[in-house]
Amino acid sequence: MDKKYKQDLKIAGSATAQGGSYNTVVISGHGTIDGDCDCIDLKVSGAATFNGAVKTDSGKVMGTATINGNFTSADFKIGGYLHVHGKMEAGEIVIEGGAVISGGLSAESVEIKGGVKVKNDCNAETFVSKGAFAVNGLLSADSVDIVLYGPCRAKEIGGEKIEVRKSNSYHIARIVKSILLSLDLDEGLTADVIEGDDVYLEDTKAKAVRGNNVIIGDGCEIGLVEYRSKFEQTGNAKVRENKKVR
Amino acid sequence: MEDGLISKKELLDLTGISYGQLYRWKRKSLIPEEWFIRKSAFTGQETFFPRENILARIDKIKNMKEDLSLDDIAGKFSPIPSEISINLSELSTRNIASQKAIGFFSTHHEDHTHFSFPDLLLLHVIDKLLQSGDLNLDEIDAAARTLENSYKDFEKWNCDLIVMRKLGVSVCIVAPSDLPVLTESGAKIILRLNMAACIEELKLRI
Repeated sequence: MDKKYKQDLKIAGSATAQGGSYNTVVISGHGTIDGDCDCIDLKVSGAATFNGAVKTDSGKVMGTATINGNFTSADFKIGGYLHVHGKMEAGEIVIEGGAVISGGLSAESVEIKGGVKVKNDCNAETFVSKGAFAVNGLLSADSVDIVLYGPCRAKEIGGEKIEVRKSNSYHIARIVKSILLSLDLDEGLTADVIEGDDVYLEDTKAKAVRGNNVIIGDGCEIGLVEYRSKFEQTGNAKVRENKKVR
Repeated sequence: MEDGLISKKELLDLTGISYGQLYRWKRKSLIPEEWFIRKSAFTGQETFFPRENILARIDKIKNMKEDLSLDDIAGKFSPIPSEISINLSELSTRNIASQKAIGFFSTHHEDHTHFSFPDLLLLHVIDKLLQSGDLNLDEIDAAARTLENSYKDFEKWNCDLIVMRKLGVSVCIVAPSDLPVLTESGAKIILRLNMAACIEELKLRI
């Protein structure tokens, strides 16, 4: 159907609507949408529950949204909180708030400035994190660029270029937190296996790191490094074993 | 190492591809998820692949990637049939199926001038069966009919076409390919053909 024939859906109070094909969907109160929902633009600033699959060209969640189904979007921004119980497929996704994606995430680009939990694999062309994340499966991207502002976890990380750096403020945050809470904070990156062509790591704990050019920097604890061309260890990095492989 | 499996390290070594390429191809579904076999190791888990499948696949990808984008290649490997229509004269000029197979096909489908993907797949399988010499014409006919009726299932599952014979009577079935087929004594499986592989072969030709 053409865009001009589609209707808008606006929920400002508390209401339940049927799914369907809409032009723009705006939920600023408390809204529930039953059934699959297909729209051009989606904005949630209140609380929304979608009982079905959601598909939108672009959109933004500034409030809270729960999607009990799969979610597809070309361009999406999460400023509030989004929980997707199915799979999420996206072009570009920016997460400034929080998100939990239960069925796995595939996107062209993922940018994290808040916190994300992916209970499956996370696939992207570019993955940039300046926040915290937990990926229960494989985190795979051409370029993985992580600046550690909080605890980051993935079972496996694979890609072409993998770079993990600690942030400046994170240092201060850690000192403050350790004084105030006297907790054993584990705020670096933790992974079982990290595999890439060019790997640069700081503050990372991993059982194995494999790559062509591997640089293990400050604060790392690595069990085994297997490299093809170059291996370097800087700062107070701990590497139990390193092996050159052909 | 266990028979028929290749470790990730050995694979990269042998084929000269990089981690980046391997992960990219996996993301683009050029290499099916099922081929990544995990086994326990001291680092947690190590990944292994079915040796012959993966080596053949990587060889194909390397040959094709000069001319095609990764998405196009992914389309060729996907078991989901493509939308296509080829007319009768193109069939023989493009060498998609032999004259014998086309002849056989047209005895059941009169006045068929445009061939869609399901038709082409049927044609391709008929061609394969004719050339293998394992089945007689009646059995091929039965197999073709079975395929036609179960075509929708190939998209959902990875299926095999199986032909069994006992005391000269043959039976044709379509079953998921990851399951073993047990037969009564005296019955013999004379043919087991993987449909996903046939679709892939056909896509490379058209």
